[in-house]
Amino acid sequence: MRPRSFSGGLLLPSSSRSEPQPFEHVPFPETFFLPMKQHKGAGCRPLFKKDAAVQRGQILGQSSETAIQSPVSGHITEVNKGFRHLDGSITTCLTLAASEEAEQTTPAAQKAPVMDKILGSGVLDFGPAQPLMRKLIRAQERGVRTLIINSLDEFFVFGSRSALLVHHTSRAMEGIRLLQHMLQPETTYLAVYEQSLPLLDKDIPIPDSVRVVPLRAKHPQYKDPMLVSALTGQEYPMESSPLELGIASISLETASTLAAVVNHDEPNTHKPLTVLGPEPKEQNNVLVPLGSPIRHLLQHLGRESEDVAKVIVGGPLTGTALSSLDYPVTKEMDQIHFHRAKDQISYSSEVCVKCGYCVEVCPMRLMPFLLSGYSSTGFVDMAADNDIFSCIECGCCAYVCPVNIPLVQWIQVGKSRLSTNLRSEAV
Amino acid sequence: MSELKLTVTPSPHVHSGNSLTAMMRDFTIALLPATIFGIYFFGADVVRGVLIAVVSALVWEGLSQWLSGRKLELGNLHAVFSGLLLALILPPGLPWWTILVGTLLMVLLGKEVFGGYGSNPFNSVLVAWVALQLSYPDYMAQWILPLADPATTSAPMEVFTSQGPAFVREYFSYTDLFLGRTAGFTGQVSALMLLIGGAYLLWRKTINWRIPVSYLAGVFLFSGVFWLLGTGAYADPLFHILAGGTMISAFFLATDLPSTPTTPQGMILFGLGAGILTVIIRTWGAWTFGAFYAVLIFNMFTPFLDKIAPEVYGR
Ligand code: SF4
Ligand code: SF4
Repeated sequence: MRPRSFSGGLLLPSSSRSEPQPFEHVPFPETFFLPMKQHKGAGCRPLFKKDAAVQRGQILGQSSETAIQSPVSGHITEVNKGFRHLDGSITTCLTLAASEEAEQTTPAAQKAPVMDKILGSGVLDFGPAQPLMRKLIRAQERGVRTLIINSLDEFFVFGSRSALLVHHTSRAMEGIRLLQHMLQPETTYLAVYEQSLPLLDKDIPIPDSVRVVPLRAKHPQYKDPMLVSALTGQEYPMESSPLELGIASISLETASTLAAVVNHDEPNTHKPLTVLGPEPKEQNNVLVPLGSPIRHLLQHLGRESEDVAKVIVGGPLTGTALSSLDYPVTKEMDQIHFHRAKDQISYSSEVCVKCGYCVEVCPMRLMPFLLSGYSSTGFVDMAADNDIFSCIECGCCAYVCPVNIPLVQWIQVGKSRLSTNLRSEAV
Repeated sequence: MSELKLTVTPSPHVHSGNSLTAMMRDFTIALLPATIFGIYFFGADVVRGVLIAVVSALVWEGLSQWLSGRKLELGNLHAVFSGLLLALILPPGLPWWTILVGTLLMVLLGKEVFGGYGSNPFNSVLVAWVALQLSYPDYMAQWILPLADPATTSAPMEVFTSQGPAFVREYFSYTDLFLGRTAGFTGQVSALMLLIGGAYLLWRKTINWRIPVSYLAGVFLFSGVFWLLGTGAYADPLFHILAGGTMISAFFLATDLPSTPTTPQGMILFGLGAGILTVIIRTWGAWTFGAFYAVLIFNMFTPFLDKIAPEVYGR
């Protein structure tokens, strides 16, 4: 089958491996940090105070759409009300000391409706991270004709999602069946990078109702707009969503987690992650207890070194740089990169030479140099006329620019100025 | 472990490594076959012309940036490339001071007055070339002759515009035109050498295929139509492709970044339009080197062509 694709974008670096590395389990740390907000949007309300004893799997924080469970049994040693989330907002963070008894038993399974289990274990979907509960309810309201299961990792052919696909196929299929049951789609696509297609285990049957579709390994194929257009040939404006077309796009990781919490009554306490660097070729797929400080992960992998100069959560083109190794692993992460000082790039204030590279690669068919030019010179209305809000901040344009113009940053500036203008007009 | 100092910067955190310097280095390398052929064909005087052009372009640019208090940008090699390119479209044997005037105009009028490379609306090399053509028409039409004996002392395109297509067929074989065994500008005579350079640029992805391909297509198709209709009154399309600077225009002049469109559609229209205009100027116009004028004239349309933006996803 010829792999499908989209126009523009960047070819992913080819992998030196022939298959994704199986997951390595990272042991529990002594101390956990559990922010009550683990996606963009409202966080959870903490249910415990300092010194309270908690059980593994117990709900520590709850909102109407999601929850945070305790990864271990132990007691809360601190309630920090001034914790800074990745998006800059302030939330509460519980510090949890694991109890001495090494035994970390899981509480007995309880009979509960599926939606309650999804809510109680706080399953998130990705791209961007949001409560699965919310997505499912909206999808059920609108009706789903096409279900897309997304197994693509950002920028890497063999990251944690393809490891789930290749090494934990039956779990993933269980999850897909659950989603099919809940959403009743006419068609279900399983989107995989073409490199993963031959690795799918012939012994583990993929249901006939699931069409496996190979995609070319390009950035940002994993994002919804590119997935939807490659698989269905349809496009939708960015202020809308694929659900308006009757399409639900759900991550394969979400499907696997769903199978774990619904069918197997496991608490949602571990996170599959791709970890890269600091040395260029170092790549691991790991299962990390949620709430582990990133320092713990680094120490476990034996990568702790003076060379680490930058820590990025998310992909190399879209991720957020952290200011501290004490930041914990949270549900919304999918990759962690450790960069050395010499890997760092610098942006410039030079003039655009109008080479058109950015136009060529933009998957949204925008004119990045114009958007950035208008934003940096204050003509934000012109940027709005040129569809600045359609930019998905994939980073392709800045990646190819020969004079290193920080295109994405300027576009973000333009967007936020426009939003402020809109808000002040509304007042 | 001692506390690490972590750097916090916005995304993206990686870069392709593309740079203007690398692009200009590629452009310069791509001109080497034509340069070497020029030296072999016209003799050592070409070395003199090229050196004067490149060194003076660097000096003028350095001086202008220093005097206007801007950052020195000689490192991006644009002065080297544009100096070399100008030298290759000047007649071999041009007096040294004429070259100096040419590079001065190229640097000052072509780009520095607009704020440097990137902001120039016209191809700076062509600005200089046209200025020289208008100011010193006699010098610009005096070639030193090739070391090997060519069929005529005039360039093929001059023979075409002054005497008509019949003479062209008589004097020049396609092989001569393709290899470059004719009189003409220093680095413009050999279609083959420029094609090698162009292929290198395409292979390195330094230039986009759209402008050169649509430019060549514009020249070929438009001249082809008249050739088919015109019963010997018009030159054949292959002649238009091989002679008169079509190749150097296609790969090196019409691909100047700041003065040409940035969108896929704009590039195609630019190439087609400039290609058609090239043939029009040659066939019905007063100027011999329509290939150069056409590109310069089409630079003016770039802002309009850039308005033809691609249709945004989902719109
Ligand atoms: S303009 Fe936006 S969508 Fe287009 S390449 Fe740049 S970051 Fe991606
Ligand atoms: S890639 Fe950079 S230099 Fe080229 S057009 Fe875009 S912004 Fe300008």
